[in-house]
Amino acid sequence: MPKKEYRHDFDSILAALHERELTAWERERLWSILTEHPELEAEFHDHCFLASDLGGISARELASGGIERPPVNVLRMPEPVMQRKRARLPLWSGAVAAAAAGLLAIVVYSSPFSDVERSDVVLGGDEPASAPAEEPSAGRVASPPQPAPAALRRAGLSLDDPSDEGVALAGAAALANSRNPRGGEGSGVHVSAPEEISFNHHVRPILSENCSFCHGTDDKTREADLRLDTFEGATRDLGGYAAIVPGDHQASELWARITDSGDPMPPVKSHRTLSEADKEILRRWIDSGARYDTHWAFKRIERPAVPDVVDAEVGAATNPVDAFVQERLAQESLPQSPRAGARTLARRLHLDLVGLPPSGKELSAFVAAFESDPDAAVSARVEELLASSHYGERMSLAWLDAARYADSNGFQKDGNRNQWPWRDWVVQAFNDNMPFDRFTIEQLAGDLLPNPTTDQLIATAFNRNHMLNGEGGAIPEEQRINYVVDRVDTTATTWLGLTMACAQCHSHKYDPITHRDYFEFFAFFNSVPESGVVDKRVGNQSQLGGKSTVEVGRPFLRLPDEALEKERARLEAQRDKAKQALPVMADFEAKVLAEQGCDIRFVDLEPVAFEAENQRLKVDDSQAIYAEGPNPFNDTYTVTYKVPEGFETIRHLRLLPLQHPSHTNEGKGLARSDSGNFVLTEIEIVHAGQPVAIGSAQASYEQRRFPIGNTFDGNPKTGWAVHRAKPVVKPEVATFTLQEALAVAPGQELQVTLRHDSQHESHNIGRFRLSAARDSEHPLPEKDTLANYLLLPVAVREGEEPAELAAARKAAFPDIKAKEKAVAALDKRIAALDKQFPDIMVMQDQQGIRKTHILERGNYLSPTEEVGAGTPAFLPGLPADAPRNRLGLANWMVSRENPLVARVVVNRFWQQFFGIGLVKTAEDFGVQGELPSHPELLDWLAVEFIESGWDVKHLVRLLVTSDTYQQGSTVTPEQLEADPENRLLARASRYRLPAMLLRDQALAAGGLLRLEVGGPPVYPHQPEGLWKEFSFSQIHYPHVDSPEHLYRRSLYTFWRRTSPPPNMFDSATRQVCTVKSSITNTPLQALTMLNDVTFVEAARGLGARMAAASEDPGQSLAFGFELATGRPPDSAELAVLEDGFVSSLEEFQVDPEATQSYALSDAPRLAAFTRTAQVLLNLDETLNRN
Amino acid sequence: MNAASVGGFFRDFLVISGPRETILGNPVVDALSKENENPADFEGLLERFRPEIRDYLLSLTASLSAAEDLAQETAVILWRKRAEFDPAGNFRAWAFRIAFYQAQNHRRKEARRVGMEFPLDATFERLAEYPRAAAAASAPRREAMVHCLGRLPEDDRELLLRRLQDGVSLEQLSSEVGMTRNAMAQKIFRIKSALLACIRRRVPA
Repeated sequence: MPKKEYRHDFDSILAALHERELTAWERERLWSILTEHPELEAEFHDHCFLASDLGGISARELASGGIERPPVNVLRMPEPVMQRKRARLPLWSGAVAAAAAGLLAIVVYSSPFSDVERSDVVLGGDEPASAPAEEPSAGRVASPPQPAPAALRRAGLSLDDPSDEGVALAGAAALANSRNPRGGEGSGVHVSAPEEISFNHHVRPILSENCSFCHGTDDKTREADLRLDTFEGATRDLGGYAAIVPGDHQASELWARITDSGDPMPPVKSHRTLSEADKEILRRWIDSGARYDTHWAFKRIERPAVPDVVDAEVGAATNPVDAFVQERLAQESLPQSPRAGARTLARRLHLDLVGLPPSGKELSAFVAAFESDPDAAVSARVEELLASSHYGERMSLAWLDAARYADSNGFQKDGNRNQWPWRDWVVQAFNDNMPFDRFTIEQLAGDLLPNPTTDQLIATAFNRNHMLNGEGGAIPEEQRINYVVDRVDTTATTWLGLTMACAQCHSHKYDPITHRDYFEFFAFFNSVPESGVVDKRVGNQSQLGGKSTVEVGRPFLRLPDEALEKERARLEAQRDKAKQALPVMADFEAKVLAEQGCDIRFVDLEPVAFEAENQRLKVDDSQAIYAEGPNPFNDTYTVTYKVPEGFETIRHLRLLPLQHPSHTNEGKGLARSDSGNFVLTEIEIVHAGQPVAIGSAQASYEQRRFPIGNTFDGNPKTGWAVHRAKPVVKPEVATFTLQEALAVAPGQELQVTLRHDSQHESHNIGRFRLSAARDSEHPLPEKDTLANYLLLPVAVREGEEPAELAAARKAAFPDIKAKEKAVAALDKRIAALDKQFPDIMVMQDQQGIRKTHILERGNYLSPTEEVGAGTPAFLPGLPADAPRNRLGLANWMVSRENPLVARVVVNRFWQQFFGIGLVKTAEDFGVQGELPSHPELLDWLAVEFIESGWDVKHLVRLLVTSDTYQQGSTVTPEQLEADPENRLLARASRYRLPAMLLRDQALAAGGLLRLEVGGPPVYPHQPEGLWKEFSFSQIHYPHVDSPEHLYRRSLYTFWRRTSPPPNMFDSATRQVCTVKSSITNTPLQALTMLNDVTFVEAARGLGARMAAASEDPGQSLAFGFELATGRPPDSAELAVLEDGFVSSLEEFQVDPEATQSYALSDAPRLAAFTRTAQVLLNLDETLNRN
Repeated sequence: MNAASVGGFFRDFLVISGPRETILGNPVVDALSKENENPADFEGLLERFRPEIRDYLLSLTASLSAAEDLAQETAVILWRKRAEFDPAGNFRAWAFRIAFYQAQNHRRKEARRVGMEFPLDATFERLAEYPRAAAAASAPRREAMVHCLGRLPEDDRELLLRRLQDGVSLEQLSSEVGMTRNAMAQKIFRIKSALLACIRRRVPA
């Protein structure tokens, strides 16, 4: 017969009683068993007293019973005890003696029953343990001073100490806490004790927070070779036992260790502790079979059924949002709040959807419509607002924060950039209601779409909005890696809600993202042909005044600019004309060469057939051959040339390796190799079926150990290379002289084979031309001679022009210098003009994918294994036929199988309209993130979003037309108590408006706001000298006294990363991706609202509007109040305003100076209205979205 | 073993390592093996009754740390009130009564703090009045204990004594035999249960 349950529990509790601290649950259970089964009392007492009973049996008594104990083996002394011995004293005598001696004692006691050791500092001297321990004689305490109780108490365990782990915190509250892995923050969601333990909701947060660091995904930091994040890992046989034995917590080592007060898990030094409720959850979970489950956010999104919620008063919910929210509220017996008033609602809708307060007309029209049919009024107004061009501006704010959009590069130099066309693209995309999947694809991979439009290229600036380091000492490759890292982090946070950054240095501690996953994801963003440094720097010749430098990095897109283009065309025409006036240098040089007695002339050979083993060869207009297609390790080219007209002999062949845009070093290299270098191992010439022997050769440059002679030594291991200890950035030339003049006839074929068989990867000449010279009596001129210089193609010539040549030229063309100067001057002006074109940094993949290596600890200097592009292994994979590039990635993001993107995006939209996301940690949907408050609602919305064709306006409409959104925001004390954060949505959220909207609202109320959409950033008021100060005078703010700059919407304010607009409190810094805004309180904001020039001007504007509104101050004030808050004041409010206005008026009437400074006029009435306007713009109701 | 002969290092250890040394070698405690034999030595009395007071508190709190804390507090109070103690009186009853008040206090504090009451009043009272609170283990019981210890398999007995008399840690014991801590706790519990069952058969409550 199986043991009764209580008996089983009783036994396991008794077993633990002397060995560790009982859990609260065990203690409770023990008391209830003893209450219900008094017959167990004796047994309980027997166990309790067994220790002292046995301790009281002396050796003599044992001996009398015939029991001999083996002698104490000193060597068998418990090791840990020996190590700790200095800290140990017999508590009783030691403590009393210590107190008696008035010494400081570190009192650590050891009990035979407990492995607990607690140390505690008591008052006294410096050799704590030894003094009392060495002389524990009774005589010492003959006349002791009164021992202070405090001296005997272990402070760490004061009974009043709420951290005392011996005390239970059980029940609903504790369970609710444990649901929230970020305990401190408190989810505010009231949760009743779970009837059933859910792995995802209850267990995973505990394991993740407390165990995963050492027993999680990361095998590098895994302790004891134990992982608890998988069932297999947790139940693995560890040698006769297992961490978790499903169904039996007593047999589970995990349980033993978490309840072990002597050697607890998590270890004391981890500063993590499991609450009693946590332990209880783990116990019940183990007992119920320890079932694991995939993390909720990594599961495919399925559309849940909409709950059937029928409210007695309201009737069935028509909007599914309400059905889910109300169902949840019903569980807590909380009703939703009544609908907000028309005016509150109008203001809320306007601020949320277009970021502007409703005008008086808009308000009254809405109020009238609302009275006759509230639903219809709301619907109609929502449609109007969704159609407004300001909707896109409002929606962009959060996206710009996520995309870390800014108008400067950051870092110390903080040069300007021209990314604003991307900002306008975003605004336009929201206004056009571009489907979110399209929105995603174009921003992540617009450049990889077939025949991308300029707009699609601009969209990719999303991934170039990262900071850019223009400092001189920055290491290019290090910076380049930083930019790729930023792209990875931003993309992962924005679309996947994953804290991918953690996996840069090691596998993620909590989420199943491995170090390899990180670099496979990294590889998508690693092929941008960027250098890591600023590639283009141009002093900002802005007509606005101010001072700054534009600094951009490749690749960038030149943006069209009508005025600049016109100017450029004009200059080009001038230059072409000037060029025509120049003498033809080639003729002149030929003459000089002849004077040198050299009759060697090279003529380019025309290739008629060409073939490579591994690449595709093509020929261009200049008779040069170039290679395309895959970038193989080695390759061999065979080209057949036609002997040119007039050639009876060939004596010299000249090979010219050339640059090409596909080459390394931004096209300046000579090959698609890492350095742009090549190794030509062999050149073979065949004429009329016979090999042609090369006698000698010279080269413009020979790398050490790679001389040109290697190319015809018959040894495939040796070759010619041209690396000058720095990346290859110029063409080179090699001239081969045949052993004997080769007799040829024009039109004959000459076959040339170039072999690249070195061990250096992809060191294959990427583009080259071949020319030939007839046999001549003259030998090839020596290096460093004028003849040699003249024989070299212009591009390969090096160093200064020989003086001889310069002199000859000057004699031949007396005015050549002036003419050349004229051309050069024009070239310079064109180049300078070209720099004026705004260049927006965009994405591009270079030809020949840059290799990605796993970087040890994320360090760019420690590449290890090579990886290809791929998505994290724990998520559904890329389709087999998908390209392994950003386009493949973008399509994967918006595929139906992706479990994260729709949830993450929908959650952020929710956050925008309800203050807090359904998942509060909008930035982290991983296991460390908070669980959704309404998981089913989130999934329903995500599926609805996908199935609507990623229709953003549809989603927004769904949210803002819900009853949940339209509730009043008045909070009752009960609601505040039950749900302080309003996670359950029994009311509308009320929060302070973002600073950008506060500014726009004030300008709107003051009648100053300019509503043009888009364009370059503007320069509104900011304190004089701010930029100058932080930039060591390198950057000056252009103070432009024009409404187009001063009163545009805050969205367009120039965003300098090192010095963001000082009146934008709580804004994201735009340094890195931010998906959750913060709301803080600082008195600085109040001071700014009262004193910042923009706000003062707004108040003046509002004051003037009030002054003009009516002769009656009361009516004026009511008008102003409504402009600020959206409603007329009640009589008490009006009375206060009137009082204030009248006393201000009296004050200004006798103080012309103050009047002038307030109103910029001598009208006291205007000044009094201005001051009142400041009050109105700072009302709590004005500052908050209600 | 003579503690003095092994030098300071081991002497410290032996002194602190608990009951075995005390019982085998400490003349003070040996002299106190009869209750109140030398009531003038108040510290000796405290030492003598310490384990029982702690066990008693354990039975009232079911918490090792609380029992230790309260036993210590009790000691302080006893020490402070030592002038009030009648050397002819029953030290155990006096000490246990003070311990009981400590436990009751603790229980109230706990109840206030976590908003629940445990153990139930009646249960607590009953547990507190357990006869052992008033008297030492009777002579037959001590005899039974020794007898039953003798009946235990030798290995088991040694394990139990090392744990309970010598105070060797569970970790140490489990590592010596290559068991997990949890398994060792279970094993010791089974030995204890066997021992107690044997005692109960010989000396019915």
